Amino acid sequence: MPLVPGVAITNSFREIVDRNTISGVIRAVDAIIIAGSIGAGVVIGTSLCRLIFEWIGG
Amino acid sequence: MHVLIEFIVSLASTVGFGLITNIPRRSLLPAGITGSTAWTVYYLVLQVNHGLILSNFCAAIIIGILGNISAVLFKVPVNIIYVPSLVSLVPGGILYLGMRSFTLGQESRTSEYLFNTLTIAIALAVGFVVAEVIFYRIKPLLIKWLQTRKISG
Repeated sequence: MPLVPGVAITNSFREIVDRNTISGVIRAVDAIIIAGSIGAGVVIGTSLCRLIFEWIGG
Repeated sequence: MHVLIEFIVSLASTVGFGLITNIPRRSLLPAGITGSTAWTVYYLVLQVNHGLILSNFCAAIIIGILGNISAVLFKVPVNIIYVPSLVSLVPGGILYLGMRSFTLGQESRTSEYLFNTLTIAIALAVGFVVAEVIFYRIKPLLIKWLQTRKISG
């Protein structure tokens, strides 16, 4: 949970509501990119693991 | 009994995240009490209303009011109280699940998760704004009370 950008996305919406639009949008894009990287990394790790296990197990 | 367990565990969680983010020692306990009260309110509202919006909104109002009051009382910035007490409410896990199903190509699940994330984030942000409006009303009373206490004590 410390890795995942939940606080960043809530802060970004707070800033957008506070009319600091550019800062809020930048923070939201940052949070979405971080979440996409985490998801892609987990998927790549899972498929790599499955590949290696199939290779070992024959 | 369940409510007491939720209170204690969320207090431990908030204090732990406060230790991770290196907030000052004197604001550790007020941040913990703020976060655990907000989580208890979230839990109680969730028993009544099975929606995402109302429970997060009430919890954000509680965090905003208590966080602002303890920021005045303990002389720390408001964000220092906000960040650890917000961690147990924030939609990070759902955002991760949505991005994972986006990578796997599951469209309906992706749209559901991302929609839930957006709903929770907007509810929390609007709750903070409402809490700051309420606190703007009670701030003069708090400052007056502090001054009378300082004179008499």
